[in-house]
Amino acid sequence: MNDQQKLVELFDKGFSDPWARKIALTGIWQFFPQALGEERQIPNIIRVDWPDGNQADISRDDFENAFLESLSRNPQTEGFIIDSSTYNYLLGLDQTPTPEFTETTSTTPDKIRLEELEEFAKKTKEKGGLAEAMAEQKAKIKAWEKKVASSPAPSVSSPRRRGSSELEPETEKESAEVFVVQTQPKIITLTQPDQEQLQAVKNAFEKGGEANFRKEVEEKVRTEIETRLTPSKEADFLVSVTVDTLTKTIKNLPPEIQREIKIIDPPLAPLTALTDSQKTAQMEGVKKIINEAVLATNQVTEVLGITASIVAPALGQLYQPIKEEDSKNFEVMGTKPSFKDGFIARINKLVELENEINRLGPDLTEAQKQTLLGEFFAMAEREDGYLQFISHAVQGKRMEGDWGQERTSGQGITAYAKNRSLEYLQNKLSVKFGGEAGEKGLQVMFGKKSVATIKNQLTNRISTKVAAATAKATATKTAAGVALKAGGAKLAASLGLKGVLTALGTVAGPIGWIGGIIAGSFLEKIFSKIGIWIKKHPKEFFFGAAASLGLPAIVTGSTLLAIPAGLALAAGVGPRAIVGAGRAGLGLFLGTITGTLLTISTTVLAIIVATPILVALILFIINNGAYMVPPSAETGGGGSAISCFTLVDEATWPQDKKDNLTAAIDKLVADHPPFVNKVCKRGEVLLHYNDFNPGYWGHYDGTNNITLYPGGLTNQLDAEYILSHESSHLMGAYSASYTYVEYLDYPDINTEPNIITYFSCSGTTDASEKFAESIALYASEKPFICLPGGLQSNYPIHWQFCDETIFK
Amino acid sequence: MKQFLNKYKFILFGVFILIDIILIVIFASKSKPSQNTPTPNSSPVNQNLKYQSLITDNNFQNNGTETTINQIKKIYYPSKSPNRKNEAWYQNNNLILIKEIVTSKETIRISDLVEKYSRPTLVLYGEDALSGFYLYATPETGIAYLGNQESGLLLEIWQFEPTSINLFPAKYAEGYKDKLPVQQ
Repeated sequence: MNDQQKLVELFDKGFSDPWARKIALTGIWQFFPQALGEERQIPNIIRVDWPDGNQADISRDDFENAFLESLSRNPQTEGFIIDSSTYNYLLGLDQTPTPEFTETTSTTPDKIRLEELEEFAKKTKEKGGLAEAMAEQKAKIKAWEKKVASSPAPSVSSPRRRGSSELEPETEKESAEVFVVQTQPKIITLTQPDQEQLQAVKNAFEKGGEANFRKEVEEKVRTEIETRLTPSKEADFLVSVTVDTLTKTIKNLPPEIQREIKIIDPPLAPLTALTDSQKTAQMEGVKKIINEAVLATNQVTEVLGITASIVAPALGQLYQPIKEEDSKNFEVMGTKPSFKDGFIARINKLVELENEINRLGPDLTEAQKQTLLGEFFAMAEREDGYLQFISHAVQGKRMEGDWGQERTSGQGITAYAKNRSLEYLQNKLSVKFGGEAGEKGLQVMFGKKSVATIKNQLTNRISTKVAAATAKATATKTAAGVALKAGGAKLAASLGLKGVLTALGTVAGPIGWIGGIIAGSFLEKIFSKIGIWIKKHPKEFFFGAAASLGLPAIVTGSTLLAIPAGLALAAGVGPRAIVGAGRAGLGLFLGTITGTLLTISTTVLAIIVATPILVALILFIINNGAYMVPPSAETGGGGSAISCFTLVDEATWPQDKKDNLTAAIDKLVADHPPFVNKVCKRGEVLLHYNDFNPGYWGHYDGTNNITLYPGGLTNQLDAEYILSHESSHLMGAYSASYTYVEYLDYPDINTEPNIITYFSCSGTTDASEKFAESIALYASEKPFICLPGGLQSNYPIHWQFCDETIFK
Repeated sequence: MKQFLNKYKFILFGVFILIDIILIVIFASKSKPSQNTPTPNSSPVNQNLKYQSLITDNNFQNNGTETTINQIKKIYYPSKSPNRKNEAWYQNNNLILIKEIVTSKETIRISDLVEKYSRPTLVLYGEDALSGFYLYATPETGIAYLGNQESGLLLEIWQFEPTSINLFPAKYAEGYKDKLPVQQ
């Protein structure tokens, strides 16, 4: 099966399949930017991840053919509804715009109809099949590209329906129902209704800015909702979500981003989840609201002098006939929220829970709390995660500050609100087991289970975590103890003779013969005798060791050869003995020349015994990197670290942001010195604060500057997370510590293709971002509702890489 | 035994001193990375004898998996990395490009390539740019490498049919951009 066939097979699964969706979106995004109103270079090939973990380079032709073949064969399925312009473009229903054609289509999705797909199938059949239609389409694409390439780049995009412009060519019968292809953003030419809407918005802003705008939009949305949906109380909720989302999204549109803004899955996406798919009126109402919201947002961006394009939400199910099986699939995070399910009541319960949680005392340690939180929310998500993000949307009070996450997020407000909700609860949560309040709170959250069961589950998980952490700490301590005490007989005793022999046996290269010989059982017995001898004659052993290495040490001045002295010192032989040993060694050396050698039978025996063992020890130390030098930034490891983070223009930072960041830095330095040392290897890291909200939390500029935005500094944990993420970019780029190369080549790490938490749970398959994100998750242990169980359980290989390579 | 040791004590002592010196020499050579400019592997990449591997032991002849995209046949060969593959591109049965994976175990550095070939005339930015690894190319001479300028580390070395700066991105570096992407 070739790649195209594999694509068809995948696309046939439908849009709800995550891999099909991902590859379809990727292909459309990459290969057909003009269909999305983008002006970008179109690649000939994209690399995609197959569900089986393999990768393939997909050509534009292969993608296009597969996509269209799947669509034409499965017109009744939900298809891959992205937006109208994409469809029109891909289906060949558009008219190739001329260079002087200055209008573009709206992304209003209400024109995406099943009939279009059926029409496509019919059209291809009438014209002799798919091949002919595709050839025709390709010709159109090429002509369009050629014309676009030769036309001046316009600056503004606007929605406009086909047939409303004099510039528009006459069309066929279906022209009234379809949209023209969305070209690059152009100078806006609005239809009369659009102009009226725009003027209304302009007037609202001129009168009183945001407040009036809110009022205007609210009134519009409320009318729609109350006309279409019932009961009115629930409509209030929708109005609140809609207006708040729109207002704050628009308010925070970053001026410098200009036309790169892309709102994927508009903020109204949660509405779809709230809609009872069995009720046509609700479905239609939501569709209408979304269309209006998209239009309004487009227009307001124009008012504000900003150009934005919006990709309509993936509302495939809304465009399908309502069937029983559809409703079965209409789930959000394992639940089926709908009006009839009484979600308002459930939200109220969640609010109650929040209030009760706030009353609980902070009896847990910070570590216990953090551990608990991760598990707590993981369970909460499984139980009723949907409510968590909705609860925030209802209250709205936590939405200020960093709205905008949804602008480029594939998950939109859903992911954003999930995270915000999590943060909100997390900031306030301090759980105490036992007591009426605690039990009641748990009952509210986990009403389906007995309190005892929940407590047991949580307690067991915490115990497991604590036990694991304790074991890890003990192991670390033991290893450190071995390293510090490693020396001579004590090292031999620590490792056991077998350990020494293993060290010898693992020596590679020209001196591997030592191990080969000693590995023999006969010599092993001999060495076991020698081990006994060493125990009985530790002093002589070190005399011999020093003597054995005395000459080379004198000749080379090698610091490496100072190790035996260090070993002896650590072994408790004492400085005086070491000096004596050194003198003995020198005396031996001189004695060979002057003939004044003392009685040396014991010493010679010591030399014979000590030489191979010392060689083994030295090689063991070399092979294990266990040089006994103090940890420092130079080595990138160690048990302590000095922060290299400097807050630029510190006086201008908001106090709370600064406090959160400072606390985060302190925690990073205290908890993860090896990581901090690696980050700081290059020198000072400058932290800048930008009060503007660009839609993400941090930015690394490729040198030693990290810019942090308000959204990432709302609490210490987020600050630690985003600082770790951006610092990881810096470390990978400039530490020269091989960390990024080691990441790329870490065995099987590429079998974990997507780190879902990146960018508000949008996920990333980009190697650099996966690198940074996994480190940030390891360092901060920030819980994400989209990642129940955290890094270790979801991405064990990434966790292992972090544990072995970055944090040690 | 005692007599034997006392009799041959000088010889024995000399032998062990000699062993020490040999070991020191071995340690010294082991701890100092090679500064030699890499010598191209004598084994040819393919029958065309056009390119030679710069990474020892790379094999471009067996165990490759093949895919063809837009008349370009790409064969992926195992590399020393467990995750990344060497690549050979063919067009009309002519080898037009090889990509060699460089792991952290290799000693070859950017300076070696600059010394051996020339300074790059084009810089492009791909997925690894976020971690400081850029694509440095000299299209006119048919050499490019994905490397970190500050550390000198390399991820990949490309050898290809010489072309112009204008044609290089589309022909060989699809997906690379001429601007550093925003990192977030």
